[in-house]
Amino acid sequence: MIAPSDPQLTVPPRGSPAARSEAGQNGPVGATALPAPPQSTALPLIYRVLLGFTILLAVVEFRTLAQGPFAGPLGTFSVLFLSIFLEAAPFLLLGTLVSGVIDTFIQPEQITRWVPRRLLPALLVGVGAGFLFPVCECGVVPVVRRLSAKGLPRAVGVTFLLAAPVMNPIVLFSTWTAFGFGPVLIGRYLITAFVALTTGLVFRLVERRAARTGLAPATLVPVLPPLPSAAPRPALGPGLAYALLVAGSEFFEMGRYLVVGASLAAGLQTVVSQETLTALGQGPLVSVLTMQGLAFVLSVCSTVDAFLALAFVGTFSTGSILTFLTFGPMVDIKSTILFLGTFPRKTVAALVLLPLVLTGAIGILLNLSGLF
Amino acid sequence: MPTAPSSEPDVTVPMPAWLPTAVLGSLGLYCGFTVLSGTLSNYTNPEFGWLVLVAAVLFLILAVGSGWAYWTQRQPAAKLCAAGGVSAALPPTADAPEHHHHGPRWPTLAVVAVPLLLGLLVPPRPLGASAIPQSITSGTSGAVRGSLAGRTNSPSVGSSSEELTPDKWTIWEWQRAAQSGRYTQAYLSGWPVNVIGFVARSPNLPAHSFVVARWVMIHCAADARGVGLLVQDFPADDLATDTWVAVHGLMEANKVGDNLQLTIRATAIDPHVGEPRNPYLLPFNPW
Repeated sequence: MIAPSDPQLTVPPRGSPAARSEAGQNGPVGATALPAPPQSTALPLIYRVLLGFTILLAVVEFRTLAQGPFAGPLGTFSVLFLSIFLEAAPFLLLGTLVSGVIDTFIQPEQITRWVPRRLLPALLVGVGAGFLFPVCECGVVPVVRRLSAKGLPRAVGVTFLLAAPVMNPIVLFSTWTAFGFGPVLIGRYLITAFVALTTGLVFRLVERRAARTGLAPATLVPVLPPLPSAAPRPALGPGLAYALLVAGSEFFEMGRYLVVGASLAAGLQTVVSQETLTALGQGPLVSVLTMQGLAFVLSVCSTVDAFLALAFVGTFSTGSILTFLTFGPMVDIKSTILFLGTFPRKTVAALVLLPLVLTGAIGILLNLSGLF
Repeated sequence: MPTAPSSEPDVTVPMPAWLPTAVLGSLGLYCGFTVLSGTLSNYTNPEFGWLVLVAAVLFLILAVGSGWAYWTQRQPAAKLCAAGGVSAALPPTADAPEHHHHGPRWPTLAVVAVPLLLGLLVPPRPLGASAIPQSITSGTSGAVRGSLAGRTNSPSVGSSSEELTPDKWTIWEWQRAAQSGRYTQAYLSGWPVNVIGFVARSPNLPAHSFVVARWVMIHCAADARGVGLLVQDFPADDLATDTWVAVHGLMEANKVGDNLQLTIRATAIDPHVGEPRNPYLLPFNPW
């Protein structure tokens, strides 16, 4: 397995010498090409003690400053950042654990066996798989990453990636609790399924065109090289221990993007308040864009965003609220940063723009239709 | 990807193998601490404390896994992978030609440790007056909308306040009542008011006025919205911003600027009420 913190996670185009080399087709990368072992730069004990003392002083001084001149913006940023992190961490951790288990126990041929060969049933499996892997937008990224490495078709992976944050029992329950059985609940699931399916189809079409021309565009190149299928399944005990190790590495890999995404979201919210965003506009078009912007900036977990949307009832139309409830779980600041750490930039652009356009168009149509 | 040999000496400081374990363990302890100490209420709805406890347990489990790997790798190399029986399944990389597990690098570790650092360095406290939007601190958020509407049969305004009467309403419920358009100015005026909030000010407030404000949270501080009511004609100019106060008085609907505005005519202010156990208003019980 590639060490998760390696900078070479983005695999060069399939078929290139580098890709063949990384996939192990040409055998291990030559040992002579590896960097020389780093020199030891261990500090003498006295310097370590001094360094520790300095850090302690800095901590005390920083806490003093944080209560004084920097209390306002720094305090606000810190509260917002930690709230997003604490909210997302359990789901990301669950996702990394599932990822570790998949990496250790799931064989590529099992994926091939479980996913239908025909396109539409395969994409429908991607849409509904969230009910088997109940993960939000944070947890789904490591799961898709690992399933893709195990040979999950990309179109199905993309469909699962976009649908799973809504298509799971936790979100179903929270949406039902907030809005009851009605147009919001039904609309949220129908729109999510439609957008995820359409995006999956677009990826499949691009993939087919690339196959005809013999060129695999960079957007479709898997991030991780496929693993050999002949690998034996490990025993349960050692396998679980290894799965934990993979999950730990995966957390560091994905966690850094969560931290960066949460920082951006908290920084933006420190500067631009929620009230400022919601005051932008109420028209059928502007309100949809406003709700998309709000969903992107707030980065609220899909498991609870229905309760937040409830606060907008009366202020925003049902169409705009549905846009918030469908676009937000697919794309927000922290998930975009997670995507960037996992997929090539063109793929990320498609993963952001397609849901943006589709959910926006549906929201505007609903507003104009006067159905609600 | 192969790296070209370099004649420059590599002066990278090697990361101690125990450090990732320590970071994971510390994150677990921090998550557990926020729940057990009650500081979690500064960041998220305590109803979701169990989720943060789950995170604490998962962090600690990952730390144990990482620590176990550290212990194993101190012994003959590859024992870990061999024990897992998975080494053959793992493709080689430039950093790991025989695919032995590698921990994170310094930048990754530093980024992941940011929550820990912020949690330790910045004293935990809730969102305060400095983050309250200008629309609230200017005292115009209690503008009464639809003042020609008739009085409804029930004075309740929120899902959790069906049993409440206005004298028990929170700042959020008063603001919702003002903005809902369901109540007349006459109906909203004259009710006794008993609210708790923190002091927020803006330079354009009239003399002897301040805004008693609060944050309303659904799930976490990221979704919190500020609410506030103008307290007029009470000599409380020495009250510092962010001081928690209990305001008692009567509700009035006054014309402020061009708007009809709910304001509190305070009869008593208790500045020693202190921060409530839960500093945010939680009008919705998610589960």
